[in-house]
Amino acid sequence: MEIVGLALIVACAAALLFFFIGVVPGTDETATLAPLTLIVVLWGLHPAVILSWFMAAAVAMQISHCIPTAIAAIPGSTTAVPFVEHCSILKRLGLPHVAIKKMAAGSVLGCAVALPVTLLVARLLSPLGEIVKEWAPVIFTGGAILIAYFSPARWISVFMILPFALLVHGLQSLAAASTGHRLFISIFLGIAVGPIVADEISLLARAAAGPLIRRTKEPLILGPDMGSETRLFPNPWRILTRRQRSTICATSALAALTFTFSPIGLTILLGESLTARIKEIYEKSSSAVAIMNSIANATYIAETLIPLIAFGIPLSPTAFGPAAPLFHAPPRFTGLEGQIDNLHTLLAFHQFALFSLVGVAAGIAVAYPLTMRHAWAMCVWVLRNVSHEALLGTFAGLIVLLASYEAGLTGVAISLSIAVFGGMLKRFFGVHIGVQYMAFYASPWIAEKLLG
Amino acid sequence: MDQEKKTKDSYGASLAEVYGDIVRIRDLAIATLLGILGGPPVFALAKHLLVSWGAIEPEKAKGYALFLGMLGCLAAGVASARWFKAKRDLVTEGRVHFEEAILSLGVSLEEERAAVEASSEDNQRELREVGVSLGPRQD
Repeated sequence: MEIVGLALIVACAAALLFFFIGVVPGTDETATLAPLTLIVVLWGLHPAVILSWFMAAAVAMQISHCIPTAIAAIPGSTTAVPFVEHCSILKRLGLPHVAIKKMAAGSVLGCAVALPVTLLVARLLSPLGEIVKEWAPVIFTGGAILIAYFSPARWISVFMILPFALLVHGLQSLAAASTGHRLFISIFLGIAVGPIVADEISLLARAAAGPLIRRTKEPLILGPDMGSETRLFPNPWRILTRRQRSTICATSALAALTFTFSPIGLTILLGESLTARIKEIYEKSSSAVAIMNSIANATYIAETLIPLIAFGIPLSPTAFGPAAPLFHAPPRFTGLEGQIDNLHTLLAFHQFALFSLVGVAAGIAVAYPLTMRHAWAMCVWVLRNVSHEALLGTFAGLIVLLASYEAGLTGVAISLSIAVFGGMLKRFFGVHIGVQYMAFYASPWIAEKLLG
Repeated sequence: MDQEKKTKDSYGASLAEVYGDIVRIRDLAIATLLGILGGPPVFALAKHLLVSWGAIEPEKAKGYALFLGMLGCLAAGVASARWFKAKRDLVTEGRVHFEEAILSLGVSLEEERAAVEASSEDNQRELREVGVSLGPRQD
C-alpha cells in the first residue's frame, strides 16, 4: 500500500510537470520525457513508482499538447504534428475550444480502451520473449534498415546506418578506454538533442546561418477565447459523437495490436483514412482531431508496455525513444547488452497492470480538468512568459548534467560529438532520429560482424 | 570594412529560428551558458559533499546530487525566462463568422449546407450547440 501511495504522489507530480511541458509549443517527447525519466530512474525510486511516473507523464503530455495546437496551430509536441492542419481549420471556424475538448476527450477514451487491450496483448506475447531476446541484435539491425527504408529520406538513411553505427562503436571504445565502461545515457541524449544542436551550431557559420536568420519577430495568431468549461470533469463520452466514440474504441484497440509502428505514421494513416469520406467541414476536422489524439495516446501506452512486459527490450519507436530509460539506464537498468535487468524482470504482471493504471489515471485526473478549464489562459501565459531561450538553455543544462553524471567530461564530449553528427544528418540529409537510435542499438552487432 | 562591421553588428544582435521558434542569438548563448553552469557544477559539488559526509551510501548520494543538479538547471531556466522575454508577437483573432470562415476555406455555402443536412443528427446538434447557423437555403 505504501508503494501505491508513493506511486500516486509521484504520478500526480509527473502529470502536473508534463502538463506544463506539453503546453509549451514544440517540445519533443524524446527530448523531455527521456531525460527526466532517466533522472527519476537514477534517483533509485521503486520500479513500480517509475512506471507510474512515466505513464502519467506520457498521458498528461498527450492531453495538454492539444492546447497550443488548437489555439495557435503550432504543435505542442512531435505527436501533435499530424493534426495541426485540422486544428487550423477549426481555429479558422472560430472553434479552437471545440478542438481542445474533442482532443482531450479522445485522449481519455483512447487510454481507457488501450490499456486493457495492451495488457492482454502483452500477456499473449510473453511466451515469445526468450526467442525475441535471443534474436534482439538481428532485430535491431533489421529494424534500423526497415525504419530507414520507409522514412522520407529513404536511401541516405539506409546508407548512413553503417557509418553512424561505426561512429558510435568508435566512441564507445574511447569511453571504455577512458572510464572503463561503455556509455548509453550520453549517446542516447546526444541523438535526442541533435536537431537542436545542429540549428545552434549552424549559427556559428555564416554559410549555414543564412536560412535561420530572421530580421523581425513573426506574429503568432491565436484563436479567440470562447470561454472555458465550468465543470470539473466533463464527461468525455458525451463530448464525442456516437461515430467518434466507436471509431476511437476501434482505433485505440488497433493501436495496441500494431505496437511496432511509428506513432505519427499510424496517427496519420488511421486518422486521415477514417475521416476522408466525411464531407461536412466541422464534422471532418472535429472527428479527425479526436481520433488522431486518441491514437497518439493509445500508441504511447501500447508501445511502452508491450515490449516492457513481453520482452524487456525496446522493440517499438516509443520504447527506444522516450521510454528508453525504462529498458536501459545503467547502472540501474540494463536491457540492451546481453543480461536483461529492468522493469521486465523486476515487476510481475499484476504490478504492471496496477501501476500503469495508477499512472494513466493520475495523468488523466490532473491533465484533463486543467485542459478543459484553463487551456486558453495557460497557453497565453506560456507563450508570453516562457521564452524559447529559457527552454533551450534548460535542456542544455539537463543534457550536460546527465552526461557528466554518467561519465564526467568524457560523457559530455561524446554526447556533444554525437549531437553534432546526428544533428547534421537530420538537418541536412533528413535522416530521422529513429534511424539513428536503431543504428545505435545495432552498433555492437554490426561492428562485431564487420570488424570481428 | 564598414559594410562588414554593419553586417557583424546586425548579425550579432539578430533573431534566428532555432528548433521551430524565434530566439535572439545573444540571449540563447547566455541562457545556454546559464543552464550548463546552473546544473552540472551543483551536481558535482553536492556529490562531493554528500559522499565525503559519509552518512549516505555513495549511489544514493549520487542520486540526491542529481536531484539538486536538476533543481539547479530549473533555477537557471527560471532566471533565463525572467531576463529574456519571449520573442513572440501574440495576436488574438476576433470572433469569426462561421459562414465567412467556410468561404475562406474555398467551400461554397450551398455545399456546406448540403453536407450539414446529410450529416448525422449528432453532428447537427453539435453545430447548433456551438452556435452555428448557415441560414435558409437560397433556392
